[in-house]
Amino acid sequence: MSAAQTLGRKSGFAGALSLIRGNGQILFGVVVLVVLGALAVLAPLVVSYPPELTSVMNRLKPPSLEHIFGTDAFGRDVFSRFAYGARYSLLIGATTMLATTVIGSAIGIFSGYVRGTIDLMLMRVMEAFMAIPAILLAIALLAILGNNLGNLVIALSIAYIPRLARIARGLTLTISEELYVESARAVGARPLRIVFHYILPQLLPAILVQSSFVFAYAVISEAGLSFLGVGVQPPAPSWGGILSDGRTYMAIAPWITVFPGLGILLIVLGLNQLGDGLRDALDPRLRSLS
Amino acid sequence: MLKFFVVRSISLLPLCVLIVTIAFTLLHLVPGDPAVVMLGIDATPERIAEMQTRLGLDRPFLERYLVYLANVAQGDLGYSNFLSKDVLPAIVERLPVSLLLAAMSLFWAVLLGVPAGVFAAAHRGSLIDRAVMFSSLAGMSIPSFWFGLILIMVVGVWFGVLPTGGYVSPFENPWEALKHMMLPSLSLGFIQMAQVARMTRSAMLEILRQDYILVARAKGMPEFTILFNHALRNGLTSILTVLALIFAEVLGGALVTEQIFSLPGLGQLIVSAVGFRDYPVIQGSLVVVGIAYVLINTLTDAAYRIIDPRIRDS
Repeated sequence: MSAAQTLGRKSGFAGALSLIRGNGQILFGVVVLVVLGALAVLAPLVVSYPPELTSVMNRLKPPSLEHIFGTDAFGRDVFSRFAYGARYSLLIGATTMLATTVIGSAIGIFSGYVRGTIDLMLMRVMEAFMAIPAILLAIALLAILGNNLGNLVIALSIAYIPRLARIARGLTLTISEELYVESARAVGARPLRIVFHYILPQLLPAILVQSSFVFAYAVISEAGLSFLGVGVQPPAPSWGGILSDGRTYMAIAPWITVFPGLGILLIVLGLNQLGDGLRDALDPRLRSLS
Repeated sequence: MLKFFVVRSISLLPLCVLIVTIAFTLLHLVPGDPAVVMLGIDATPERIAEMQTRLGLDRPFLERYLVYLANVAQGDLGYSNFLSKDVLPAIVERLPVSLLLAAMSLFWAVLLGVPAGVFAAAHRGSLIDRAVMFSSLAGMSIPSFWFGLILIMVVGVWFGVLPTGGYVSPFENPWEALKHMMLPSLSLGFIQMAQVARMTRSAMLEILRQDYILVARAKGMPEFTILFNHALRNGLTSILTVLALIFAEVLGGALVTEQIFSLPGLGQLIVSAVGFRDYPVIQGSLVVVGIAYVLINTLTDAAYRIIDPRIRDS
C-alpha cells in the first residue's frame, strides 16, 4: 500500500515517475511501449523505403545493411513494413483498451452499484458473451459488420468488455459495503457523486492493471485476425498480415515471419510486465486475483 | 450427484438461451438486407425473396426470434447455401478436429504445467523456479500461431521429424494421428502451460505454508508424497478453475492454429464462412461453441465435488 500512499501525496506526474523508477517491471513495460510507439509515430523518418515499394530485383533478400530485416516476396523492405505495422498494433490495441476500459467499467460499476435484478441480468449477459471465445466473437462481428479498422476495434472491444465489467462489478460490490460509502450516503451524497468520488478512485488501480492486459490481448487478437485475413486488410502492413504473407516462404525466407512475431512478443511481454508491476505497486490485495 | 446435474442443467438454461440470443441478434446487425449481402448484387429478385424466406426475414422480429430459438432447441441451426447442407451436421463434422486439438493442448498444459508449478513452488527462488517463471512469462506473451509457425520451421522443415500439416483420424491410424497432432497441440499447449504453471505455483505456495504439511514433514514422509498426494490434491480445485477458464481461450486459439497446420476443423469452416458471408454457419458456430463452454464448466463444477468433499457435503 506504501506505493499508493506515496502516489497520493505527490502530484500525478511526479507520482508516476516515482512508480516507474521504483519498479523494474513497470520500467520495462514503459520503455518497450515508448520505443515501439516512437518507431510507429516516426516511421516515415526512420525507414529508408516506403512500405509499399516493390522491387523485383530484391525479392526475398536476407537481412543486410541496406535491408536490416530483409525483403519479402515482392521485394518490399520488411523493416519498413514492420515500423508501419507497429502503428496498426498500437493504434488498435490502445483504442480497444480505451473503449473496453470506459464501457466495461461503466457497466460493471453500474451493475454492482444498483444490484438486484438489473445486476443479475447484466451479469448473465456478460457471462453469455464470455462463453464465446473472444477471437470467434470478433470474427463473427467482423463478418457481420463488415471489415474496416473501426469495426475491428468495435469487435475486439465487445469481446473484452465482459472481462472488465465483471471485475469492476465485483470490486464495486465490496467497496460500496465500506463504511465511508455508507457515511457519504448518510450525509445525502447523490449516487453519481458517490460513484465518482468514493468508488471510482478505489477501483482505478485494478482497472488500470486490467487495461494493460486488455491492451495485450487486443494486440495478439488483432494479429491473429489479420493473420486469418479477417483483420487489417492487405496490402496494409499489419504484423499479422506480414506473418501471413511470410508463411509461404518460411523455409527460404524465415526473416519475414520472425521479425513481426518478435514485435508482437515484445509488445505483449512489455504490457504483461507493466500490468504485473502495476498490480504489485498499486494494490497488493489484487495479487491473488489473476 | 444426479440431483446436482438436474438442478445445474435447469439453472444453465437461461445462459444457453442468452447465447442463442446473441447469435440471433448478430444477423440483425448486418447493414442492409442480409439476403442481398449474402447473394451479392447480381442476384435475381426471386432468389433474394427465397433467401429472405429461408432466413425468416419476411416474418415479424419476435416470431423470427422464437422460431430460431425453437429450431435451435430441436438441433436445427439452419441451412448453409454455400455448403449445400444443414449447418449442424457441417459443424459436427468439423468439431471433433478442433476438440481433439483443444483437448491435446490442455493435456500438454496439465502434463507439463502442473509438475513445473509444483517443483517451482517447492524450490521457491531456485534456478528451477526462475526457469519456470521465465518460461511461463514467455509463454503468456508469445502469440500461439507465431509459435506454431516457428515450430513448423524448426522441427518440421529443418529437422524434418514431424509432419507439419494435415489431419489423420485417430480411429483410422492412431499413431499417425498422434504425430500429426503433435506440433499443433504443442504450439497451443505451451501457451496454456504457462498459465497452468503460474496458477499451480501460487496455489502450492499458499498450501505449503499450512500446518498439515509441517506435520507430514515432521512424520518423515517422503517429500514427493507430501507434494503430490497432500499438497497438490488441495490445490487441484484452483487449478481446475484455471483449466475451465482457459478452455474458451484454447478453443479460440485452436481456430487460428488449425489454419497454420491445415487441420480441417471448425476454424477453417468459420473462416471460409466469413469469406462467403455464410451467416447461418457463423451463427451456428457461436451457438455450438458457447454451449460447449457452458457444458465444460458444468463438468468442472461436478469435478470439484469429486475432488473436494467439503464442497460435496455443503
